[in-house]
Amino acid sequence: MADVVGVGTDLPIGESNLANLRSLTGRMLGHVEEQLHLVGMCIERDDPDLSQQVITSDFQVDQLEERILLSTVSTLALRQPLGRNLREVVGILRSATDLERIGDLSKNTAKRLLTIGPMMDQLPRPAMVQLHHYVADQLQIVGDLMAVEDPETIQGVLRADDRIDELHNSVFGELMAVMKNDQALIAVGIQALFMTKNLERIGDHVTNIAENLYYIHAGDVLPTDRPKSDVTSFMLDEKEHTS
Amino acid sequence: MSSIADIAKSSQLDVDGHDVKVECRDVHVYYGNGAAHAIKGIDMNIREKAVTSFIGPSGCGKSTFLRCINRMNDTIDGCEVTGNISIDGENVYDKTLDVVQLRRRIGMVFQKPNPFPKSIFDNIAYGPRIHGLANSKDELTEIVESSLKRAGIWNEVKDRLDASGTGLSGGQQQRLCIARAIAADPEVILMDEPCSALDPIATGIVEELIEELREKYCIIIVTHSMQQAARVSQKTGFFHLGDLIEFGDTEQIFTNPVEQKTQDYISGRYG
Repeated sequence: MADVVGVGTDLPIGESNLANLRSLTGRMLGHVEEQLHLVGMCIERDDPDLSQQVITSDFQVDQLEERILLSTVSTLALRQPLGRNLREVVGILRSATDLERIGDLSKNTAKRLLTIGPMMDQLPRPAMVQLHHYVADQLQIVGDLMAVEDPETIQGVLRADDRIDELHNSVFGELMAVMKNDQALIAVGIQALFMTKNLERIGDHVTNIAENLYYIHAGDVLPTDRPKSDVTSFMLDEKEHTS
Repeated sequence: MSSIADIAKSSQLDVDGHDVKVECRDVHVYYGNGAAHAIKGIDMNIREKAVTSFIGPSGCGKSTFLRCINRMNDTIDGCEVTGNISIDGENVYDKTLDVVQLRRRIGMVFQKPNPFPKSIFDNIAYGPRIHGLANSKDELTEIVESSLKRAGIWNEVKDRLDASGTGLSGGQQQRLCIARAIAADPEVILMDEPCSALDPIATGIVEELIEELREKYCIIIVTHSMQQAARVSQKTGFFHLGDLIEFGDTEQIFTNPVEQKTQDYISGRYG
């Protein structure tokens, strides 16, 4: 299953292997973007078939991650890339892990959407749709950055994580309010809390990929003390997120 | 006012504050009475108690530059070296300097192991004898034993010191040559592709030895294997067409080189 190609080609050391790794990453990204897109459609309108499709298609993402792992190990063992090539191989391996996690979180979100079903009408759907759209947009931007190097846009993705946290805080507060007002909605409300937490976590993985791209480009890591805006861990009252 | 000695002393630190053993300034080498310009104005501070590797494609000048340090190029007709190379502030090209003494201070190990067609003992004892480093037979025996021990070959040869050095395996011969270099009590050890004729196991043993020796010596190694440079050295210089393109910490050179030419070379685009 390993996608080792190019041994014995006239390409410079590791270039063919790198091209292969980039191609696998592009395919993995495409699958994950599609999963997240379908999740968005299911949030907007209850669609069990689409949710099921997200769940059953996740194995393709897992398979691609395995192929990237095997191809990365082969490239390191047989080609011993150095400099930027080395950074790119390592960056791709790390990003593949993040993409696999995004796939898993999309799958889990689809499961919860199946559980919530038509009860979604009782929940703050517009806020959840807004959070989803913002996260999906960031994933698309990061996908474009994999193809075209653009350090400024990388920084933009990193800053966008704050906005995702704010949107998550807002949805969290709205869901708390719904559950307080109608205890019959606590069960679906909890499912929705986990679902939106999944979206926020997807945002974190998108940020990780942007950091990997920065490392590939600059050969350096960004400071780890970025301010975090997610306050849901401290919220006991739905109004606290506005303070 | 600073004395000349003070100025010399103050210049013996590199930018990271490490002691500098070999200082090279504007070194040029010409072959064929000026017909070929092989080394083009190289400046370099080479660190004490560290391994510095020179990498670059064939013909880039890395071996030529290495051979400037112990004046091996003096033996080549029509070869001219200009600029300044000093060891501990002492000019290697000073006309009053005794070249034989210089080469005692600078040991050299070559690509192909070249033991003398003599016994293992005599291979090691030769240097100390001609340089008068031992006052008695016991002292000489002690130097031979300690040199073979430091080169990690003592246990393999201690029972056959009278056997011929040329009867050892390739890897053992190379360690014997390293022991021979150490026996003259050098300060700097030059290695010109020391593992290129060795199998991977012998290469691994010699690389471990280099790692141990750096605690005491300034070691400069020319290698065609970038992986070897990455494994054994703390500083790496990349040469191309007689120029020193980039010189820096080995980790930086192999993970984040500054110069595009270095990146192209380490990723196999040419060379």
